[in-house]
Amino acid sequence: MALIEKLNESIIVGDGQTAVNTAKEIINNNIDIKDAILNGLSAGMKIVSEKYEKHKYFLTEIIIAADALNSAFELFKPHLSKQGKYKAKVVIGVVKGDIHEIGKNIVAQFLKAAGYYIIDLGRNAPPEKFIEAVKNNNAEFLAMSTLMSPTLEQMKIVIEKLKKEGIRDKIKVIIGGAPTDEKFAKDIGADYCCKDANEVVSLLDSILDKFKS
Amino acid sequence: MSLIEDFLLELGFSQELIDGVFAKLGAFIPTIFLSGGFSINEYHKKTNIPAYKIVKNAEHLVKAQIDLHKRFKIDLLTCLVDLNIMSEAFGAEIYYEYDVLPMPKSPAVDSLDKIEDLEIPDPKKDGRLPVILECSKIYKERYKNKYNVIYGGVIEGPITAASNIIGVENFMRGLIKAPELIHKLLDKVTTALIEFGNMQLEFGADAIGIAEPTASSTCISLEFFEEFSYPYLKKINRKLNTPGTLIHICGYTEPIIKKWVKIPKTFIISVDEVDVRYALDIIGNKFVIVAGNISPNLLLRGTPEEIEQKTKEIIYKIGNNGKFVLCPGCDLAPGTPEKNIMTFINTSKKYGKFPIKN
Repeated sequence: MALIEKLNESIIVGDGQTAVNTAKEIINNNIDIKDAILNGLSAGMKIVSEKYEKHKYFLTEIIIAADALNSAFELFKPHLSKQGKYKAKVVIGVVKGDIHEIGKNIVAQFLKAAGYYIIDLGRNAPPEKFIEAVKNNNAEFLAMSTLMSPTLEQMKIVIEKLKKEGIRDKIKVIIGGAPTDEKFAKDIGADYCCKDANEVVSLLDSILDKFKS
Repeated sequence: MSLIEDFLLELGFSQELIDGVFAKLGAFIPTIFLSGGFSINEYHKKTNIPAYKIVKNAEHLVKAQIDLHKRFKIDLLTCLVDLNIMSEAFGAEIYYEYDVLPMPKSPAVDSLDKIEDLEIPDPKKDGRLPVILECSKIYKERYKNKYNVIYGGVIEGPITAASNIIGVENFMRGLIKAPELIHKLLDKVTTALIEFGNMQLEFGADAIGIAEPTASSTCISLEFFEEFSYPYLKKINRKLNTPGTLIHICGYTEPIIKKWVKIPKTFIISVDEVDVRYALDIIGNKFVIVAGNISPNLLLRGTPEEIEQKTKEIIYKIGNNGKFVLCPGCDLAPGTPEKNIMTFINTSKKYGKFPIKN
């Protein structure tokens, strides 16, 4: 089995040890790291996500797949800067009042694997923290999530603060999490609402492609 | 009168609610609520008392629930309003908020190999367990004979409590990588939950509800439900000194319903992302009531027209089956507009009178 295929398979089955060993082999064999990330890690995680949507996989499988991805990615990271730049910077976090961050962590892993630079604010992040991170990092994207209805309002507060700081037009705002939908995104002035990690990666890639063309 | 009606009366259900459950001519489909987060936020707005004080004080907790009964004629009350009670008693740290429910800050132990170190808490001493016990006592002494309500003691389900004790991600990893350690944890948690549940009954609760959202098929597979949730829920229900329990599992649960309703002494299942007709069909002739499943998100953000439409759809889907109560799929969110709650209640009165004609 080719190494990238082996890496891909290790993510799908959540085998962290094989993912790490394969990543080492890929590095030692001077295989293109970006190719390994895209077609090994990212493609593997995409399959995991598809299985979750079809109720073939559950949160348990997603977490061990994400663990495997992270272990391999950490090995690739030092080699990435040698091979090329990140696609764009993304500030990501769970809004104030909510501590459910598994979904956010998975999106962050997907984005990392797809070549984005992630500024992760963790969970229960106050609006000021989002604004500060966007400004300090000149981020191109801001991604916010919540699992709970009561904390939806916090997303609106962050967007209002972006406007107040005069930086709303400089950044694309993506929201996600169980209670969010496109109507809500429109109501609060967010640019997009995504339902899963795959969609976030595809969306960001397509925005960047459009921008380039 | 049937034995089941006797049993429901004994638990404290009103005759009106029982008639609705049995789809008797002229009765209405009953409406119940899971209203923890909403009740705290409403009481905070009314009294200006910070939520972090309300959730640590039995007097406030009971008053918050009685207020809801007075405003909305909510018949099922409960004072265990957040699902961090057992994990906190085991040693987890909690964020206490000004206007909403507390949230987990850090688990009691941060790795699976520390499970052995966990000690079973004392319900009369540890965390907020004594506060919840006091709520049952206050209800029994002051309100049981004054209001026509049923007071449900609540315990977290074993998986929900256990995952907050070691952190949800660690718990999920453990299910796959260290199942024997997870079973050890679940044994300890189950012992603690049984003791806590029985004490709530002893102090005055009419019945017990079990909140087990982490056992949903959004989080774990049917196989894991069968191995890690079902046996412990079965043990809890067998050992609780009550003739029956309500078990709430929000999220997607269609794959587990068949097994779920086999848990002995389960008499209400409170469902969320499920076709309620499908749930009733699975249940067949067995006496298990389905409670569901208007989205709390729709109640929070929808228009009264949307809520009426969705509630009507659920009513027509159930028709004259009985063994059904209308209920939000999960806890009513803080800030849910009063007019939306009233629309939900009134829609049952408008379209839910038996015989229901679609």
